[in-house]
Amino acid sequence: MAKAISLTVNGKAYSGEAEPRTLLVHFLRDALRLTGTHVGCVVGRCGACTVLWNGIAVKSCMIFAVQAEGDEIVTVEGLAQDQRLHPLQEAFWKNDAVECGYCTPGMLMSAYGLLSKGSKPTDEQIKKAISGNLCRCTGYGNIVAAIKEAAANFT
Amino acid sequence: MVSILKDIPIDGVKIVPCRIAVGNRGIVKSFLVAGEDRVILVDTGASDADADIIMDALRDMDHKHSDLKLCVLTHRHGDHTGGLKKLKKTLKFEVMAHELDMPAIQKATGYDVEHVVKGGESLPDCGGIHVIHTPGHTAGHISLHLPRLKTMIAGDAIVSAGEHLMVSPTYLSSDPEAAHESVKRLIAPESGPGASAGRPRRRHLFRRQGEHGAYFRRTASVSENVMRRIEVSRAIVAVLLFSFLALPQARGAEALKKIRIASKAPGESLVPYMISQRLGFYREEGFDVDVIVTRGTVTTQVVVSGAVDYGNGGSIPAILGGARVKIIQVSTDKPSQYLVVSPKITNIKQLNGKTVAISDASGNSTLLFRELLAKNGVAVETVQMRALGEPSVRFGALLAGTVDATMITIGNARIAQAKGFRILAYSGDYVSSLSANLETSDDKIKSAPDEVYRVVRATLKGQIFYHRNMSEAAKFIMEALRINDLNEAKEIWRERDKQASELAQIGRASEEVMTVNIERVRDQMRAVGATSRIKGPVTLDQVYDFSFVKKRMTKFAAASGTRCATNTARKRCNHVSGKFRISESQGNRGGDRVACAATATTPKLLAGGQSLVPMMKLRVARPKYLIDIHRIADLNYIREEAGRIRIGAMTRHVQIEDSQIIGEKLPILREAASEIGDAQVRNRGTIGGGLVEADPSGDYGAVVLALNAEMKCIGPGGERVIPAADFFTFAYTTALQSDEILTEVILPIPQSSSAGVYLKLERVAGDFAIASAAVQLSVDPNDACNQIGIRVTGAGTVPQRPCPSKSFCGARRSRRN
Repeated sequence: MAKAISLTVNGKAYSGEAEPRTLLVHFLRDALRLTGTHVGCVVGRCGACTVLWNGIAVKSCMIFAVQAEGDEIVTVEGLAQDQRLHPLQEAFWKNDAVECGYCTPGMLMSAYGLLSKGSKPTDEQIKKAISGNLCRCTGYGNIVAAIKEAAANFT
Repeated sequence: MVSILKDIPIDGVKIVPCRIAVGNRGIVKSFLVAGEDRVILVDTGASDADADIIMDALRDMDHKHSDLKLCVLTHRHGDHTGGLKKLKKTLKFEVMAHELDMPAIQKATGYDVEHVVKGGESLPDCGGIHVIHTPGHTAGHISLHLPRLKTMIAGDAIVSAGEHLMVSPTYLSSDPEAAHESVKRLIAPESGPGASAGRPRRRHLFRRQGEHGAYFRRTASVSENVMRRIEVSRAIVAVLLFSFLALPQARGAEALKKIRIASKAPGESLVPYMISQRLGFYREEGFDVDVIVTRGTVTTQVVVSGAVDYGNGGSIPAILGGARVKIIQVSTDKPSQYLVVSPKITNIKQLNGKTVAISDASGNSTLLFRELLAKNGVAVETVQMRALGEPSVRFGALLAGTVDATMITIGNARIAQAKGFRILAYSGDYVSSLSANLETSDDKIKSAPDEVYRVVRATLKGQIFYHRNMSEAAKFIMEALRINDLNEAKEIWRERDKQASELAQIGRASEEVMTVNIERVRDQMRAVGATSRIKGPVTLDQVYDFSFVKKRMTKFAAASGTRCATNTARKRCNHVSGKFRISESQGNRGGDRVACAATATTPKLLAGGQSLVPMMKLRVARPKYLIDIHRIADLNYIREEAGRIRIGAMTRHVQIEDSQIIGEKLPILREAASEIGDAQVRNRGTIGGGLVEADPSGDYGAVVLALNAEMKCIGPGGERVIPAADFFTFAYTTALQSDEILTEVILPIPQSSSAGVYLKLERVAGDFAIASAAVQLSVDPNDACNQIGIRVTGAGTVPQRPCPSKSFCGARRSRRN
């Protein structure tokens, strides 16, 4: 009962097969081998699987792959360009906003979704934007600082 | 799991595991399989010292050394054969092994293998032992299947790794492919002599059973080379219990039916269910049971909505509140709650002015607490109650010092006591009230009485086992509460045993107890202002249905003298497939959509999917068909029109949050939308989806009720508008027909001299509300209130009106403020 799915990921056209019940996160990782997106709880609690779907941050464990047919997805692999870190990644690196790294792809994509909206967010807005992303190394302070720094340079 | 079997002979056969530590790496297990006059040893450990342990074990089980007649060696490795020399010197027995491993064994031990097998043989002992050739780990590896014990001794063919059992890893097997094939055959229905199994489901087979666990703690980080070097000394024997393979013949090729029991109480009250599941009582009835621990207020609600099959809780308040549920079995007839307080409080009167954690306003433990206060002459108003929901949260709040007291069950109470807290009172000394019940929906009783009967039968069997086997039950209590002290577990068992009269132990309550309890709950509900939907006297059969328990006990009595649970022929269970289809509605008009919905069988609409998809992942929702409506652009809008705001059902929370119109005209709705879940959830979730889900703790419900909104729906019969007040009928239930769809929410814009606020109490960001309140209040030119809408969530199955609105009307703003 597998269905063919075509979609754009990080600007590149992909196609693959998935059963209707396959979650987007599993499709990205298993069918397209884009393993930058992490799988945590798989029930929408941890946010590690956050990606952008047509420009908005969503948890890819709460979407079926077939729903994204023809759509545009950005995963954490889509941030760095030409072997250079994205300013957000740069800021995470500078601010020690990564410890074990499990939440990082999700944190980056939530932050990217926030900064894509264009405004310069306050600390409160940043915290609200990443409230769906759990970090168990308790590194929220550095993460907020990193996002704030990146926001200053974000275009 | 092994330890559970240890002292319980099944039809005269028992298995005793000999725990033999090897170095600091793990435990080898040898097994003594004891029938009435003959004992068979499976594997010998690695050394002379291990042989001593085995001989001690033999003596401990009251068998003479001469009862040991046969030793079966699962394979040739030294950690399974090393004890043979010492045993052979002391005892007289014969050895059995596979022909391919036999030469190596003879060479290493210097003893003959008297019985050479090829696989496929059967031994007459212990109700029949089947030898299965399972090559891979070694070429001549064999496993033993004991159908009567529902047990597979799988040697090293299957090993434990953390939480799971798995195929012996590649680096430990001489032929990894064969090892996989062997395990496949063990799982496959046609495998093994006498083995009959249902559809294989890996999840089951490999679920961690009992005490295995630590052996492979470090495999993930240990390189293959290192593992090879330690292979010789490393040792594992895994016993695979209760696998499908091990099911008795009568089970035939039936698949187990998944049954879900929701419980608001984790901990020791779940032990009877654990027993029924682990000892295979549910399996005998064709069920596989999952216990899902839910938020307190939700337990009964998910039962009535059909989301789960059964509930374990105190459901009388919910039943009186209109839930179409019956209590079908009782496990205790005295309350299970203990008042535990911080060390500085020494009597109940000192609770005056203190903060106490309760579940919710009309929860069972809360009612008990109020009664306990009343009986001790403490005015309820003098105590600050904080609704924190489930017991684990209340317990945590007590330990953290956030509250001064709470009501919890004995297990946690004693853990708190060990940390210096004080058990001040047992609620059962003041009131006699039902506590833990098994409940199911009226619909279930009507549509599947046979299933209900068999669930009751299996649950009751676990319950009776619990009361009659303290030592075994105590081990389960240790596991449930994660404590290590057996004596402490036995203390908890004794306390809990006292909470059940003889009648309750067999699942029932006396008429007097039932009557008193219903009346007490009614009184208390009146006191806290909760709504009872049953007017006039409540008859017992509106709350209880003991017909299943009675039927079981009648049969039990009739069959006394025989062991319970014979394997009778059973009806085939329908196993609900985990697969489903998604059809995406391409239509851009309402009409197409409805046509689509009407043609599919039992479809469910998928809007944002932010609740439905995780619920499907957790198997709480299992729709066969989904219709994806998220792309219907026609249903995504926010419009102002003739004094009203119209919001399309597929409008996302984030759009409502960011909408300028809503921010200006309906700030209360903006506040509610911004409190939902987290950013990603608000990006996807829709107002229509949220309203139709009708979670009792949902954010929109209170707001649309406070604003007197209307819901526009469309179905094959055309359009209709449902006032918000009629929309929510029960938890997770709305007035929508199954072929109708919500298309629009119509909200009247409040007058300019009006203000609204939405407040939410949540445990952590993104959680459902423990409680929330929406208030929209308007004043006339004289500053007197002329209109107020007010609703709270979390206090009932649907948002409640906490007090009559008209009591506020005419009230004036305080000049001082």
